[in-house]
Amino acid sequence: MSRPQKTEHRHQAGSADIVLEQVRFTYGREPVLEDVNLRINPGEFIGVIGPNGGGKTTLLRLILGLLKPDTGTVRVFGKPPEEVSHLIGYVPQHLQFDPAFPATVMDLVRMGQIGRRRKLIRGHEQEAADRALRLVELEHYKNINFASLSGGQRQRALIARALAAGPRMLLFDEPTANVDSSSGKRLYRILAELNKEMTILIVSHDIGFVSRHITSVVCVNRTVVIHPTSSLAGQNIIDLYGQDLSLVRHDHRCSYEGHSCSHS
Amino acid sequence: MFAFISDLSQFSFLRMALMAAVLASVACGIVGSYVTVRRSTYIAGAIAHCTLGGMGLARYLQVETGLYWATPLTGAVLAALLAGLLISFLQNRPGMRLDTVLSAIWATGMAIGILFISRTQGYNEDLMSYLFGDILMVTRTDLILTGMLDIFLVSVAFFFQRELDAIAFDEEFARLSGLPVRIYDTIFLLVVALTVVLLVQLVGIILVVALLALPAAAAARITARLPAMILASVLLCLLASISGLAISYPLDLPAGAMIILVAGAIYLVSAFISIKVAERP
Repeated sequence: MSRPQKTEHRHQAGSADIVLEQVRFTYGREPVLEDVNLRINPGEFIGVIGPNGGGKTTLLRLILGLLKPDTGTVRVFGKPPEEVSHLIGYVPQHLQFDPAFPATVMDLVRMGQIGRRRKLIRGHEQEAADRALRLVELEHYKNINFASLSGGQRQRALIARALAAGPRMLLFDEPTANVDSSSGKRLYRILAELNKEMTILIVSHDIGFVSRHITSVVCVNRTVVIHPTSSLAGQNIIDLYGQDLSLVRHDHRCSYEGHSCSHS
Repeated sequence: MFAFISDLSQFSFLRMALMAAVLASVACGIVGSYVTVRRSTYIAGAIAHCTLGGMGLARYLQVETGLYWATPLTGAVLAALLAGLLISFLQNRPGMRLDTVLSAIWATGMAIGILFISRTQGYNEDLMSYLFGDILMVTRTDLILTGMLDIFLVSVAFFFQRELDAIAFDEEFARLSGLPVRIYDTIFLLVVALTVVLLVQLVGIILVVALLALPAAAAARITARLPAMILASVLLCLLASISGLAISYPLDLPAGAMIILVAGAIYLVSAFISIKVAERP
């Protein structure tokens, strides 16, 4: 997957893959996100963390273009997200799907090649689908039913669907939810490999899994603070959050550290 | 059974009924499969029941005011399309609960129907045939309409298969792929509405949901991919409707109810088989 030239949108957004400027989003009367400024550079591996209801999912949906900000701008590859949605591989939680849906793994992967997602792979759909399955190490499962896969395998099949159209970025929503720890480790090994080709952004409670590979942590609680690699390496996050990360209240930790990412 | 086969050559109404069963099975298998994988059986149920309002009103106008074009079929088509549009307009609105919308359409449609039917001469027979269908009364118009719907459905399912699958599996991802999901959804609801109306002629309002859901559910148990599921569900619909007709005819039993009974038996057998297969080491 060679990267297309990006010179055409250098002017405003620079060469960043994701740029949010002064973004505010309200749901009903409550602001979910405000004063959000964020810049994600190509090739980064971002972990998005924060308390439930802090706006992680809203941030993800703004970047995907599923939500529009009330004020401010969201740019992905220098353009409004809906114009470049074929370059964004989105991997939702596997739990939300009907496990009895009648489809093979290959059927599922080919679903990632509909509509605008044909753009980059036209005429090479089957090769692209095969390659996607190899990248997630499911090439021997292509004729297996989605229903008979394990949680970790389902998650990888959904990654293959996202990869099937040759995206330049992968976005994940809680990829390790309901995935056992050895499958989780395998998942992140695959992601680290994919990160050599594309930017990856993960929304997760379970940052412990990610920590070894991430380049920056984005802390979301109504507003957004990004911690670059230099100031916050993997080990530092473990120090910061403790080992058993699923029990950590992100909001408290963040505000204690004075990151001003909490209004609570 | 033999009486059914020998009478086929003798009575054209019986041949028409058989034709109707075959044509409706095609539509039923395709639409039933999508309704099942999208888990929207209750949408079909609401549309089916509210057609009583359209049929009751149309029959009233026809009998009491002499409006010749106001046939129950016209009324049912209009009511079903209206319900389909209403559901598609309301279903993704924030603060709208789909089950409430469906219950409202379901119940008010029936209430309107009952009120008009009670003011129309020939109250009882009309009501019974609307609720339980009468495949032996099927008309040439019904057959032509069902045939046209079949052609439309087969070509859409063939040419847009991957898009339809993708939307059924993950609507949000399909939207992110640039598909006009709302338009697809509206067309899907209108197609469900038309299919429901044609099935109402066969098995009646109360049994429509069963004919859509049971063969498709049985097909889902014995197949692994959506195209295979659709094909199997068309075949099981054919099996249910033809054998239901053939069993009920010599015994002078209501065909619609017998068709559903066979469909239910098919579902039970498929459930039994798939449990046995799953138990095998």
